[in-house]
Parts: sequence; C-alpha cells; structure tokens
Amino acid sequence: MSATADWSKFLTVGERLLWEGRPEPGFVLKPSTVLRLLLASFFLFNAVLWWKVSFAVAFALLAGGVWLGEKELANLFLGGRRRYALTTERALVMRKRPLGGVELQGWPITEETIVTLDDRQPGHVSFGFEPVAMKRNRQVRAVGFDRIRNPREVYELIRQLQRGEA
Amino acid sequence: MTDPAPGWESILRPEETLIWQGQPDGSFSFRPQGILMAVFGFSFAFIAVIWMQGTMRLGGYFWILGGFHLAIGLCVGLWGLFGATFLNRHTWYSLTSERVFIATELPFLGRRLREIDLTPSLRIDLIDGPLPEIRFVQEGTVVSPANKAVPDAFLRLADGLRIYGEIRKAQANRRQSSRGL
Repeated sequence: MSATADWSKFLTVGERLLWEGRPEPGFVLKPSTVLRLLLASFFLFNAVLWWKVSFAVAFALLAGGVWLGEKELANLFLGGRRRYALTTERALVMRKRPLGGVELQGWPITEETIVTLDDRQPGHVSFGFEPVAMKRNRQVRAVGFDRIRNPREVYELIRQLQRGEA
Repeated sequence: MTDPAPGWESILRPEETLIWQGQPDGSFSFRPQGILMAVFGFSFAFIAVIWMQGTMRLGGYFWILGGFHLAIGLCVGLWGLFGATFLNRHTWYSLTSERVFIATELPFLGRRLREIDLTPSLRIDLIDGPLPEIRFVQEGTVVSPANKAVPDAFLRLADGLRIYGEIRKAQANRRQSSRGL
C-alpha cells in the first residue's frame, strides 16, 4: 500500500475528504503487550521442550503461544499499514487483510459521537468504542486514529464537523 | 426494485421503498472458524472410530456406544465444511430506504427476518475483495458480528461496491431527514 490510499471509490456523492493520514512509524511497548508476549514466548519455549516427549502436548503449547501473541505481534508489525481518513460524514480506517482484500471501517461522526484527544506527538484521536477481547461485557476501549502526527488539528476538524461547520 | 415482493407491504413503513434485494454468492465457501470446526469434528470422529475398533475386539455390543461420538463428530465436521455455504444459500438480503433486512429460511428454525435500522450512528464496514462484504456494527454492540452464524452483514456480494454506495446513500438520506426535524 502506498503512502496515500485511494479513497475515492468508497465515497458517496456529496462526501468530501477533509483529512487523510497514517500512523507514524514505530511503536510503544505497553506493559500489557510485554506481558502477553512474554507469556507467549514462555509457551513456545515449553513447546520446544515437549517436542521430543509428546507431539500432541507440544502442538497444544504451540497453538496456545500463537493464540496469545498473534494479535499483539500483528498490531506491532502491521499496525503501521493502516490508513486513516476523515470525510464530511465519517472517519475511515482502512487496513489490508492478511488473506487478501481490504477492510474499511466507517465510523459515523454525529453530534452525539464521543471524541477524545490525546495531544502528544504522535497522538491519538478516538471517535468510537470497541469491547475489549475476553472482557466483552465489562470493558470498552476507545478506538480511532492511532499515532497520528497532528492530533489536535484532526480533533478540531471533527469538532467542527459535529457543529456542522465543515 | 420498485415493486415489492408479495408480503412486503405489511413489513415496510409508509413511504419506505425497496431499493435492492439479493442473495450472497452461493458457491462453495467457508469461514476461518469453519476450518477449525471441521478439523475438530473430524478428529473427534476419528478418535471415536479408533475407540470402536478397540472395543469391538472385546466382543459384545459395547462398541455401539462409540457411534454417538462418531455421529456427533461427523455432524460438527460436515457443518464446519459446508455450513457457511448452506447458510449463504438460505439467506436473502433486502435494502430499503430506511432499513436493511436479513432473511433466513432454515430447516426446523423456519423463516426469520432481522432488521437493522440505518440510523445516522450505524457503523458500516466494507470488506473489499472479489466478493465484498458489508458489516453493520450497531453502537454498543458487544458481540463480534463475525462470530454469529448469520452475522449482521451482507456476505459475498457480487456487486458489493454498488450496494455499499446505495446503503450509504440511504443512510445519508436518513441523516438529512433527521436533521430537518
């Protein structure tokens, strides 16, 4: 995927692109990510130990290790391949799918949308919530544009959009 | 489509019009969860066969008990393999100017109709590919749409991009009319 994505075929009549961007390269290792990856590598290490003794146990450990680490690794290494855009109607998040195809999330921006700003360099702007895996009924996580260069500018754009000024 | 199929008159709201009706592509396909299910089911059946073989050597009819496990394993495995295709062939999608309908007709379960209101806050995702998929994620949803047997989505559409455009247009119209109020 090139630096700027082709959004035109996903836009409807009367919808204009206000901003487009991508996550800044690099990543921040959160304590939870480190813990998870440590646990995953512990599983994989044990899988190697069990390999000669019992193939079935080794396979189960391997599967467990992959299951534990797969999401975090994909986020770390493929997260940068996401593309972001803001239109006059919604916020778009585009990402390539591992088995081909493109996933396009279209988060509508209405007057009621809760928008948050993490004003750092790079910072975050969120406009939606997603249930946290394994705690689906109890905990939600703010989702939006991660690691963007000019979060305050994008935040202001969304606020203008909500006031009907864009 | 301007002429609603018989039976739709009672379902549609006044001034609601049918825009599109269609079905997912019915050719053989499976979902990632289906592969896992098939692997699990067939290994379950395989272990049942081994158990039955061993027990048969003991004599008597005790081995017949393994038949339950064999049957369950085969059912789970076959459903994992062919379930998605079967569901696709028994699902019908409709788009109106205000709502999206997902209709299924399944053995034992009968006819079911699910509606999703195209409210301004409805999140609409597109999986673009050879056969695009359109997902509807309602605010506050805790169940991942991909994990339902019949998800809140239009699966395997032959001309998905066009329908995506139609759905977005209908949603934009709803948004405009709610602003006008």
